[in-house]
Amino acid sequence: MTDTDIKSHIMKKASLVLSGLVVLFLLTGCTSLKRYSSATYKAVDNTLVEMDLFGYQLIPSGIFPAGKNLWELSASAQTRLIQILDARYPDNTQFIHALNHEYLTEEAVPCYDYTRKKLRMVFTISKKRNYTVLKGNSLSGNFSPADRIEYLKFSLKIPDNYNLRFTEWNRYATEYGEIEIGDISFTRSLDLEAEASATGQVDLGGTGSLGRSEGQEIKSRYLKLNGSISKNTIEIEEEGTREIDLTGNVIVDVSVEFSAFPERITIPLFSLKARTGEDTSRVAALQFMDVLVPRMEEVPDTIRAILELDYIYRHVRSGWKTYQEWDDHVEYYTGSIRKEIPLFHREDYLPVFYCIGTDRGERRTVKIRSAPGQTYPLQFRSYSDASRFSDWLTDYSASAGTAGDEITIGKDTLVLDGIPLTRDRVARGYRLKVMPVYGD
Amino acid sequence: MYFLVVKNLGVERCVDRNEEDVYLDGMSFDCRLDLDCPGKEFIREIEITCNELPGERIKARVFRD
Repeated sequence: MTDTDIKSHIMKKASLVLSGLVVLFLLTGCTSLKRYSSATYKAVDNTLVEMDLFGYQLIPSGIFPAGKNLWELSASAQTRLIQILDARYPDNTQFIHALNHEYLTEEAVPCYDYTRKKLRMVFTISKKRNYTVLKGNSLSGNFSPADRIEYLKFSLKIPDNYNLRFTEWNRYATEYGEIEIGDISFTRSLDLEAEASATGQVDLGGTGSLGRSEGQEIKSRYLKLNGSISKNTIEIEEEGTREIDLTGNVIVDVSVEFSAFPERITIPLFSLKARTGEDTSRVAALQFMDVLVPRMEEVPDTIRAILELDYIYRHVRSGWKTYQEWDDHVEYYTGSIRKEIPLFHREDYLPVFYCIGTDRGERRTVKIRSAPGQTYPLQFRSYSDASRFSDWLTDYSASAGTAGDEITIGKDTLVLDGIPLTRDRVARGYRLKVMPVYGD
Repeated sequence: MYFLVVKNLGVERCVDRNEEDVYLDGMSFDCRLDLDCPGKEFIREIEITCNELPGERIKARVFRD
């Protein structure tokens, strides 16, 4: 081998090594595989991010198994019932009225739990957008259009005094997707299922061009989520992957449950009695239903919770003109927020029961005495039940009969002020009216 | 006469009465009852359970007339 051959061989080797170094430099210095060009932790700033409960919905989680009406019956049963009603009510108005009756069977005594609710909360997470700091190609503050919230952890805590607790996660949704949970904790990712490839082209200039395909078999992952739920607290941790800003709305569906207190509801069963061409309702019997209502001594107007947020804010000091993040010079800020927020209001959680009584002077209500020492409140699950019962009570007291007769329905006696109600007491002594059981 | 009163959602209800003060923590009563109790003098506060919810303790107040 001549000297020329040896030199040529060395040159080739050096050229290969140099090319390798250039490729290595490009891979490490200018590539979409990088998170940033440089990163430093800057400071604590609690003003960069804001979080609020934007909206909520509280709905009962139980379904009231009330009596069935005509429209819920099978086709054959509907036909048969219409035939019966047609025969019983020749008058057209009465017939149409009868079509909408509810029929409560003796076996189907409903039971209802007013303590369990499904709560949907819509949180809004926003970042401070201070465009006034942009001065041409430079920044004069800690905001750039490429900034994003990279990580956040928020919790919602219900104070003990409400006797309210979280029981289950149901759903968690962000603008990048949603997950059904149905458990007390979760760790999930919101992914794009399809695989994508990222291609970068690098022009070396001069002698030619080197095409470089990184061919990343990336699975685009939007968010990493962790969540946990305990008796009083839900906690959610979100981490956005590259270019994913956690700004936006998140929807959290949870089940909540109040501590319970037992109540007894009266369901009057009416029958119709034709009288001078029009129907008059008559209370044929009373049924009783045990229900559970929230246990709280007082009725707070608003149930409040403590919202806490910790975040990491990714501020791009330079490199913010490009969409890619690999050329960003990043400054990280951390911050936290703690505030009390209204969770829901009394009209959302308070059962709406009605009673009959008088508020002239001290408020007094009619009760039911089933046996000595067993006096229960007379309270109805709807205004229409209470109003109909009150109308019947007034009509019954005004109708023919002995004025001093106690008003009884089956084995139950109506009682007011500790003594049985009589026809003349209702007709003359009181101005009874329908009133809400709870609140004003 | 002594009376035992519970309060829930702003409504007070008398769930028991007795000629003597027999009321102790942990006693169980039918909390659905609504007896007529003219008790005015507050004696003390205790914790009872309801027959319908044996696991839950609730506050109750003892009064006498």
